[in-house]
Amino acid sequence: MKQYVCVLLLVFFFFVFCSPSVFAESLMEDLFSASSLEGMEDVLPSDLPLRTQLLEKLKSEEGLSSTDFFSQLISAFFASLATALFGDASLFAAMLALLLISSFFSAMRQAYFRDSVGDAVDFLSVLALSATAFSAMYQVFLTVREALYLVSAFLWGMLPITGAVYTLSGGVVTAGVQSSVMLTALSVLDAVCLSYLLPLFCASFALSAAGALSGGRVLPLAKFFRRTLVLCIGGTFTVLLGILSIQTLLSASADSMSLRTARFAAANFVPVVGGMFSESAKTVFSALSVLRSSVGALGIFSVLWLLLVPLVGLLVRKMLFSFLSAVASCFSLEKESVFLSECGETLGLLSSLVLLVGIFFILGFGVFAGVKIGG
Amino acid sequence: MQTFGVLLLSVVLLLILKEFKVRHSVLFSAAAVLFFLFLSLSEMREVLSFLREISEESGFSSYFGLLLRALGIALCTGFLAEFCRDLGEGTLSRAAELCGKGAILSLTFPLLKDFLELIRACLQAM
Repeated sequence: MKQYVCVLLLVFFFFVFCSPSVFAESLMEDLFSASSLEGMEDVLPSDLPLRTQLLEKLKSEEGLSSTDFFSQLISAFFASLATALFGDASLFAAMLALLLISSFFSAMRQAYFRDSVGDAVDFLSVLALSATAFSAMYQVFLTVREALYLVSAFLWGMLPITGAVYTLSGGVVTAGVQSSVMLTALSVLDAVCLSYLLPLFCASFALSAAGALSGGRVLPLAKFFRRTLVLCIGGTFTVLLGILSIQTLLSASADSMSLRTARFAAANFVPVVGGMFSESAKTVFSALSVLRSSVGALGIFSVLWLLLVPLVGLLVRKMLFSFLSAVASCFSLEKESVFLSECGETLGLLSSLVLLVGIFFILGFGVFAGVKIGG
Repeated sequence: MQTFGVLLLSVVLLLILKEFKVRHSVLFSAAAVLFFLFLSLSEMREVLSFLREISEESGFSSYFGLLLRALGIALCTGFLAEFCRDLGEGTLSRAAELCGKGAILSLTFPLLKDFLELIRACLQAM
């Protein structure tokens, strides 16, 4: 009787502790620690919403889904929209008031002054407007620079983690290729965008102000600066994006073929345990695929989170500058209108830089999450 | 309407004075110009106080003060230059304009310095 009871208990405990869900849970936890994902806690942005819950969910067998992030991103979008609109309201009200005063001066000028004296008054009025606009632009430049630094720091931290997950998935070649492409992209972001492009944006804005003060004579130079910036940004990111997509997919195919060959050889040429090894490898790769997509999704969410606020702020300011330019045009303030429209164009270009940086790294994480190795 | 009446009266008086006392007509003309300048400024007081209110509320009253001073200088310069031109003193009129322009540009210097400092700070921060 005792023997039967022992056998029944053994069977019961076997089903309780060795059920597939328990295996899957422990497998995910093992893979989590093996791929050094604990390090993600230090890498993730400190203000990321649901940070701890997302990291906990990352370990679970179902992984992360878009529903975990979507509502957060929507609320972040509206919060940053409100901040950008109300935060800058006073500054734009000041600029609007300045335009009103300038229009009054312009009317006085037409009524009373001769051109030479009127030009001096115009110069002063445009200078006051430029100084006010520049303080708004200065804040924008600083915000964008800080956001790009944060993205860069986050991605430098993610680089060893994505490499480890790739290597663990059997994608040794892919890990090498992806790491080198991301390393190049990060170097470009650090060296080109932060060290050269942002000062160029600043110089382009300064030239726009100088153009407005000089009656439009320096404006072609500002336009030349902006065209150069468009070429630099567009060229750099197109090349990087092309290399990232093609190289990662090609190397993933090579890795996939090697792994399939290894599994086939194990299943067919190793007697007794070969088939078991092949099936186990399939399970591990599936678990790793879930982990990889979760890490990729978390990476996309973090990049979006870091770039959403400055991007929304930039677009709102661009819209407000365009609106002010239209108002200036209505007041027949041509110089002011051209200057404000130039400011709007510079902001548009800056937002395209931020957008391209975001798209590049989001696609990078997308390729990382979606690439199939060993399937 | 009263202003236009006074203006019409002064023009008629000026024409009569020009017929009999040419020397006095110049002085009368100068007095009339000053009178109408102050009259127009007092009529603009409401507009100016409204603009001052706006500038104080939007936090750039220092710019407004600067612009107002420039406007005052430009008005004085304009009238003086036209007066000189009426007297047939073209060179003096140009000199008056040059002085006015110089005074306005000297007003812009503190603002220009601040602006250039801001650009320098921005370029350094990048």
